[in-house]
Amino acid sequence: MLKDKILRKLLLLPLFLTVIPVVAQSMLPHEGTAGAVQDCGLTISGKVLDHDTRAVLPGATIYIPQLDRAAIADAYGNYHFHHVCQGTYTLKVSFIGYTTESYSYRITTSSVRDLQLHSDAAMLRSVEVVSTRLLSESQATEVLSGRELEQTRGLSLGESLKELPGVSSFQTGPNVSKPVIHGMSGSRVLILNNGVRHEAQQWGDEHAPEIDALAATELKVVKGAAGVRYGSDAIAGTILVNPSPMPDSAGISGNIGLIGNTNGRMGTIAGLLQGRLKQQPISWRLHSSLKKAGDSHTPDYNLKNTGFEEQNLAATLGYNKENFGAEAYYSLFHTKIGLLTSAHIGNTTDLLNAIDRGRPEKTGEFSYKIARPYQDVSHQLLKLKGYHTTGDLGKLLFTYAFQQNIRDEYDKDVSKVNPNAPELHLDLMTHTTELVWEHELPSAISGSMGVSTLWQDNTYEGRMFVPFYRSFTAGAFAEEKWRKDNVQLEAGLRYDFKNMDVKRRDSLNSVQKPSFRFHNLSGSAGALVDAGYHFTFGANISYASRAPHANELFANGIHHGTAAYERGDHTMVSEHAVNVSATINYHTNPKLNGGISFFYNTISNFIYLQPDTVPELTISGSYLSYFYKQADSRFYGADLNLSYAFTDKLTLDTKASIVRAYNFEEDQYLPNIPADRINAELQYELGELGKGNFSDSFVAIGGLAVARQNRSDEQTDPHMKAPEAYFLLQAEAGTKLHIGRQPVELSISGNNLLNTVYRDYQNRLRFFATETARMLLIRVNLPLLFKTRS
Amino acid sequence: MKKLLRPYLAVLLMGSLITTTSCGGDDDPAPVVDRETITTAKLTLEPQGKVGTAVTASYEDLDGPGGNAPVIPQMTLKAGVTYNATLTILNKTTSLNSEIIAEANDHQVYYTSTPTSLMTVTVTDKDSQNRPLGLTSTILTGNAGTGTLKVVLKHQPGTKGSATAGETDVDATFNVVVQQ
Repeated sequence: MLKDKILRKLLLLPLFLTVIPVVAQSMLPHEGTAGAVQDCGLTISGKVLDHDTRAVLPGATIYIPQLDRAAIADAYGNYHFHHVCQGTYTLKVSFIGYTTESYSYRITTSSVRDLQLHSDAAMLRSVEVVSTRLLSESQATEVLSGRELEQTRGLSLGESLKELPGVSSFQTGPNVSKPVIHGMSGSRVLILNNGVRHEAQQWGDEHAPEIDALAATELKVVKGAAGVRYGSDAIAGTILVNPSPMPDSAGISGNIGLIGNTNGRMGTIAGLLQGRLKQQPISWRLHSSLKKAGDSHTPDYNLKNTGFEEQNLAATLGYNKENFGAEAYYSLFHTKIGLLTSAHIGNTTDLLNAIDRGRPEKTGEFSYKIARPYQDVSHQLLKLKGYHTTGDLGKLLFTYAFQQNIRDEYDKDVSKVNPNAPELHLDLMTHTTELVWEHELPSAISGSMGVSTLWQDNTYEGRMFVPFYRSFTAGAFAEEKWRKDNVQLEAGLRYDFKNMDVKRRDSLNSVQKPSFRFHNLSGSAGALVDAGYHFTFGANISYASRAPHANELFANGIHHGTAAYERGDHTMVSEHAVNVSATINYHTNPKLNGGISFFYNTISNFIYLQPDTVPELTISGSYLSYFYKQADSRFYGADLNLSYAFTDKLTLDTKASIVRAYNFEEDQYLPNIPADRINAELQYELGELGKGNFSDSFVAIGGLAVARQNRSDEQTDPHMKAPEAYFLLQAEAGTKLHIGRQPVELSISGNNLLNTVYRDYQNRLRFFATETARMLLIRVNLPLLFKTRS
Repeated sequence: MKKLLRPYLAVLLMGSLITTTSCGGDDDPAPVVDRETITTAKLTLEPQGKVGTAVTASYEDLDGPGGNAPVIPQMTLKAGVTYNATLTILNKTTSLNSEIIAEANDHQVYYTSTPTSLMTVTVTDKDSQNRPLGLTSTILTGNAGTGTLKVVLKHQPGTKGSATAGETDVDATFNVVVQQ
């Protein structure tokens, strides 16, 4: 009975822990078998206790990273590690409802150590408050998982990530949302989908990441230049989209989720089925989701042609022995997204007319129909991964991945020459390989080193926006951490070579084949200090560079929707960023917890689109001309998150972000920089209700306030001034209903509850329409546990 | 096992590199298809009676957006004369007028004279619902002076009637001199 309870809690572990669960879970089955390897004979034992009540905590997990071993406290709270050698060990203790703690001991004889845990009000309610205690990097890192992630289910990846301080999104209407970190997006934000560098047409503002957010159980954002581990380009940061670890105990489980959205009348169904064989260390998982939405609406009108549909499929097969293993993963993403009909316009006069009109020319009635203009995008990913342990020191990992991204864009008007073909067809194929040695040396040093390659082939049909290109990148890196007592020092270095062969037609239709070579160096150094008194300090300096993308070099065409003519510059060079960041965290306190991080990013030759003073004159009138330019620029700001527990049931969570960005070479503002924002939410835990028929019940109310972007002018926004500040009221509620042994999770999230009419500076369609009206997201989730005959 | 695996992985790594760098065709991008783009707006003005000479002026952007900017054409007209005006929309040398007439209910040409006293434009052709189309018109010049005539062809499916509605297909400005 008790064992059953513990097991169930263990199954829940990944929801609560951010860093440890992957390791801890996979290690649990090895306890006892690996114990006899080192015959040193010492024993570490003791009790796990609640710091305040001194109550024993049966089921708590104790993990020693130095030994890669874990134990579970028994019914009396006792734990044991036998056959331990002399040395210094870290005991990481975690338990549901408590903040994970690490204790370091120098063991010379068999010792008894009682371990105390602080209860965490936030965790008791199973909220993932970003517990910086678990920080493993000196860089500012944010994690979205657990209930916070659940509350974003039904939103796209870009919209979900907006929950995190320092992350916003660049939108094209209600359904295209591109993540922005510290004011930068596109290829400066690297996305790792299940460990693979997501390669798509990131250059376009209206190209959202082709990733199913429903397949992830953790979204992690590393803010600041993070080029060393994942390759150059990541000047702004890295987003890691992680699925839950593969099941490690035999049996079959699953999940069915239903989501509805009142704005757009969206319906989503998602299903997960996974299992592990009894006889063989083989685990498998299938995940699929289907979404369909019609036109969204603002408080005053329907947004014609803003429906979308999306289909996802993912399959994983894993084979894991103690010393080696392999995993195959395949995912397919397909979406068809309608673009607001009235946002497709002609010249600057049309744009000014649209701004004067204040609302779309055509609004129409609600419909699920997706008409022109629309995008049809598919992305598939095949990943093969293998690993082998290298003695006691670590493991060697090899990953190969193939990705194909096909993007078809259909213009508003049907071509008479070829009515069924898309006006723009882009096909990007990417092969990546990576060989990494992750190691943990006896001398308190851990890290990874490796080599990686990336080969890409881009072709198009129809209108030219980016040329044909074939690029090859090879890189080598090493990053190491040295941890002793309360200090962690880290350093990393990476070198990338990139070759790009371009084929393009010039204005006279003759083929040109220029080639480019770039050498990019990335480096970082950081320190993390646990100063005691519940304070942790982190500081990091990193350097990253990014080679100009093909569109920045060769763009040449009209972007309908903003009446802009865009022009590349093939003489541009790589941009180089030096990013300094500092983080302070105040953690594991009964009432007030939080963190603040500061960043200061200096980028030489920063590439951006600058409106030209001379318009581009064509037969259909004048278009505002934009050209890609380079200028030394500076991004700085701060992200704050604070939580205050008034009682063990009532908590206030606050997040705020500030970004400042300037081209300091010419003393100008940069366009499209996120405005200052603050988000606060008051949560109340109802816990058990109705004689235990309902559990984990909660209600929450909050709001988001976004300031006006005052750091904009005629130069950044020649047609329409940055929109006014706005406030949105939000509320959430959820519960878990128990029907017999079957739990049913129910939740509802409401956004823009006051039906506020507003425009957002980071929406490309702000010229044509206001933002969407009140939205209620309703979710029903059924976790399935199939009984296996035992 | 460890010793066995490492060279194996290295071979795999090298192997995948070789296969990935060697695949793929060597095609060139297809030449830009000459879609039904508009390159030229041509105005032909025939004086009514025998009071002046016919005038033709073309606003042309043959190399499309991004190439050379179109040159603003000039027309010299006689004061106080009524001209029969014909607007021809061309893709290089091919007239697109028949296509515009076929979609007359979705199109309208708007003429703006600056200053307004320079000339008066009266559209003479109609769509099937008796609304103006604007490919043919009469132009009555005023007193001597200089100014411009702006010719805007709008694509207005379902919104025909207002100069600010719809999407602009042609926006051509002609310099005009009216002489005695």
